[in-house]
Formats: sequence, structure tokens, C-alpha cells
Amino acid sequence: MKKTFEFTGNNFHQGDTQWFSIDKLPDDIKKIEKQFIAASEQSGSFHALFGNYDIYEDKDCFVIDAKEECILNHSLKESLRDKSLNIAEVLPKKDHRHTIVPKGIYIVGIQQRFDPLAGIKKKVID
Amino acid sequence: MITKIDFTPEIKAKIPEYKKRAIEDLYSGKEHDNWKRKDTVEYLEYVYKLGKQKDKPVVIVADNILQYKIFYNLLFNNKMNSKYTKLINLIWFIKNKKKVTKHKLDSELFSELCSELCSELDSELHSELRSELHSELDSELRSELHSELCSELRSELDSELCSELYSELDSELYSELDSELDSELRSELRSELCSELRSELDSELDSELRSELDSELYSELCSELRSELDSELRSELYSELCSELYSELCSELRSELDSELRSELYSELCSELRSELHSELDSVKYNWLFLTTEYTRIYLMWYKFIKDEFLIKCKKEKELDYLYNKINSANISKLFLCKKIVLILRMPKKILRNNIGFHCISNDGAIQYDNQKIHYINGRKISSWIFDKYFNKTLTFNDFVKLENEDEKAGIITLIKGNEGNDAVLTFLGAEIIDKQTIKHTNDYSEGLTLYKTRMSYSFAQNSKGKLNQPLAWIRMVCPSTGAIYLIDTCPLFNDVIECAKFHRPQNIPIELSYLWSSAN
Repeated sequence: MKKTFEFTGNNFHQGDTQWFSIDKLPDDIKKIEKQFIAASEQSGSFHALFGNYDIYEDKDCFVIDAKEECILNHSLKESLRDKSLNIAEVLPKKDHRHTIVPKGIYIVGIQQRFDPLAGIKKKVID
Repeated sequence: MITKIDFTPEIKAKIPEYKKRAIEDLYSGKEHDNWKRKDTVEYLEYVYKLGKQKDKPVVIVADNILQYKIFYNLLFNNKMNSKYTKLINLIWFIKNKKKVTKHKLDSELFSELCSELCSELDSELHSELRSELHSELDSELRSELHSELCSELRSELDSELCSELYSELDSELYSELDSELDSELRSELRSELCSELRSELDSELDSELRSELDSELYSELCSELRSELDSELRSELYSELCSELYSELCSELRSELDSELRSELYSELCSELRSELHSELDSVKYNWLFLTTEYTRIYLMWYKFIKDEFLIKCKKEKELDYLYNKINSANISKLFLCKKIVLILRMPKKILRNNIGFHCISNDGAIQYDNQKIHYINGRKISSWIFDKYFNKTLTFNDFVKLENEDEKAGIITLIKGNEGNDAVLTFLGAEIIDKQTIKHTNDYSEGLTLYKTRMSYSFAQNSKGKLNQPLAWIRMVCPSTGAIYLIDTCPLFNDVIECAKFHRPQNIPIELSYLWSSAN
């Protein structure tokens, strides 16, 4: 991703997913199908944004272009039955309360942990 | 030709199904529980058949590693296997229904062997042998056993007698030859030497004395001297020359005979061995025998995937499909292949692993046999005493420090962390607070952060610059939604907890951006 944007300072997090507001879409990013922002390896839960937005993929992060106010849910996969990622609605929570995501552009990534045996940072796994 | 384009996402998506079939039941223990001995035997016999082996091997199956080691020694260790070799040979003969000479076996000997078999067939190996026997024996057992035993005994006696006779004959012939050669040579040499000496003396004395002495004196002296010299010199020279020449001739003869015999024997043996090896190599297809390892199910899985998904024709389709369908139930972990016998170690009862490799932080063991558990953490083998001490609550910090194996040190940290959480690691390692701050993100949301480091450095621990022998460090964070406390591993270079918290944000976020949340859930 080319740094052709500025951080606006409106940042928030839901569990280990962290959101950083930027003023415009970065160059060289690829639009993808809507999908979970993160999914737990053990508990069957997920973080996903519901509503009118576009999602782009870049190395180690997503870029979200929220066209209007959206809802970020942390729920179990069972709660997804008959639900669409296109409709902004609050789902039953798993661990984290839902977050209202204002209209805007965000860089979204997963919190990092440091592996002292490998000497490198890795994504937090839950 | 198959290209990258043919490898569609739909085909790619099927790989996990193939993998699941290959390993799921093995890991869960279902395969172990459903195992039938005949499945292993049938698989091995089929592989031997594909390998163009004329006869079926005797199959011995060990349930666990310890049993495998004992069986191996009883069957293949020269100091321990004499009795079992006989039994294996016997079973092999019966299994392959070998036709042998119809000599009647002495009834006493037969009953003796029978009783020996019965009394001996009670240990684990014997029960294996017994089951191998039972599966093969039919109503004709007695008569066949009778004739087999007879022929076996005969052949054994034959070979024993042969070797005994050979050694006896060898020594006898050698001594006879030696003595004959000795006497012959001696007499030959003696006569030769005598005549030579005589003629030499004659001529020498003749010329010297004749000139100086007159005819009388000459004749007298001559006769005297001749008689004296004859007796003295003759005996002295004779004995000296005799021994020298004898030894020389002997060694010459021996070396000549040796080299001739050697070269003849060598060429004969070479040609024989060559022809035997050639015939064996031509007939046996050893490549099939490699489809009997713990990895075979994976090779066959990829064969099946490639063949079925890309619709590729295969000449050996029937054989490979059979092996693919049977390999899981054969349940082979390791094996020792011989022409007449195969010793097999079964797969473990259960296998536990994570994405990295074998992994289990409970005391059950990552690889479980009935009488043995093997511990792994993140794919690294960990000594059993570490698990024993940890679960007996006797593992100390000194045990940890004394360890030289870095994998085991890391294993202890993971063991404590996985079972008791990061706080227990802090207590175990003796960590201290480096920095503690409260950040006011909004009017109604504040966050408390704490940075911990161990007092000691550890040879296995690195910082973010790759430098080893560092302290271990953690940042303590509290989830605003659940209140759960997280101790997240961090780089030991930080002394300011807010700078440390910035370090833990996603990769693309610059360190200059303030650590502030407008909301947190």
C-alpha cells in the first residue's frame, strides 16, 4: 500500500481487531468479496462488519470504505444463519459488545504479539 | 498435459477432504480401535506380491515401541534368535505350503517339538506367532507339519554335519598333505644336496692337493681327508643347506599354490554371486516395498487426488487404488522387512498436534501408545521428566535454568502458560513490573497498561532486533468488554508501556500515531 493518505485520529478496537480512520482510499489496493474481519481458531466466533461498505485487501490488513454507518459484531457463526453482511444490524454478542462504525475509510488489522523465540511479531491468536 | 490453469479453486478446495480421510481417524484413535490383524497381513502380502516375491512373509505385529524392540531382538539378534528362527522358518514353510520330501518324522521328535511349541507359545511374541500360525493352519496341518519339520530338521542336520565334516576333513587333509610334502621334499633335497656336495668337494680337493703332494701322500691324505671331510662337512653343510632350501622351496610352493587357488576361487565366486544377484534384481520389484511406511498414506493420498481430480490414466491404477483403500486399516507405523519375515510396529493409539506439529500440553502425551506416551510441544520433543515434574508440582526454576536444550526451555514456558496462564509464568520466572500507566482515551474510558520483564536473561529469548540472551517481557492489557486480563508477549527493549502498546498495533500503523481509542469494546 502506498502511503498517499493521512490518519485522522478516529481509532477504535473491538477485541483484537483494531480500526484506524484515514482520509482517503490508499492506492494499489484490491477490492474483494465481503468477509469476516477475523475468526477465532478455537471458539467459533468472528468479527464482521454489517452494512453498506466496500472491503479491500492489502498486505496484512483490510481497508474498509463504509458508505454509511455500519455495525461491527462479534458473534458466533450460528448467529449468522439467514443474515447478510449487507444489512447493518446488531447480532447476539459472543464476548465483545457491538461497535457502531461511522461512515468513513479505515485501515483494519489484528493486534500483534511478539514471539521471543522467533524474534518477530505475529498476529494475536484467540 | 495438466497445467496450472487446470488446478481450479474447486479442485483446490477438495484437498482438505483427501487430507481428512488420510489422517483424521488415525489422530482420533478410531483407526487404532477398529484395527484387525488380517488387514495388516493382507496389505503386506499384497505388497510382497507386487514386489514379485514368490512367497508370503511371516508377519509379526508389535502393538507398541517397547514390544517392537523386544520382538526385534528375539527375531534378529544372533545371540537370541536361534529358537525363533526355527519357528519362523516353520511357519513360513506352512504359510507357503512348501512341498518337501515325504520322509516320516520320528514320532517322538515330532511330539517333542509339538510340546515345545505349545509350552513356549505363551509370551507376547508367541501369541503373535500363534496367530500367524492359526490363520494359516488348516485340517492338513498335522501331516504338513510333520513333513515340514522333517525336512527342516534334515536340512539343519545336513548343514551342521557338513560344516563339522568340512572342518574335520580340512584339518586332516592339511596335516596329511603337509607331512607328505615334507617327506617328499626332504628326500629330494637330501639326495640333491648330497650329490652336489660330493662333486664339489671332489673337484676342489683334487685340484689343490694334487699339485702339492706326491702321489702317495696324496692318495693317503686324500683318503683320510676325504673320509673326515666327508663325514664332518657333509653333515654340517647338509643340515644348513637342507633347512634353508627347504624353507625357501616350501614358501615358494605355498605362495604359488595360494595365488593360483585364490584367483580360481575368486573368479568362481564372483561369477556365481554375479549371476545370483542379477537374477534376484531382475525378478524383485523393490520399489513396491517402499509403500509400507508411515508416510505411504500421504503419498497414496496425493496419487488418488491427482488421478481422480485431473482424470489422469494410470497403468498401475488397480494396484495403487487397492493400496490406497487398504493403507489406513493396515495401520503400519514402522517395519523391518526381510524375505521370510516382516516385523511391524502399529500406529499409535492416538496422536495430538497443532498447526506446527505434534503438540499436547496435558499429561496424556502427543503420541500415545497403551504403555507409553511421547511428549511434544509445538512439534518439539520434550523429555517425559519435565511433564512428570510439572504435573507432580515439583518442577523448579533451577530445573529450568539447568536445561541446555532451548526447545525444552521453551516447552516449559508453553506448558505453564498453556495450563495456568501468563501470571504463573511470571511467578515461575521471577518477573518484575517495569512500567505502569493509565491512559485516558475518552471522558468515560480509561485503560491501565503494565509492562513486565524477567530479572534474568534467557539464552533462547530474542529481542525485535534478533539479539539473543534477553529477558522475557509482557504487556498486561484488560479487555474492556469482558474484563479478561491478557499478558501478551512483547519485545524486552521497551521501558515505556505506551510505546510498547503502539508496537503491538497492526503492521501498517506508524509508531508516531498516538495511542488513543475513541471507542473500545
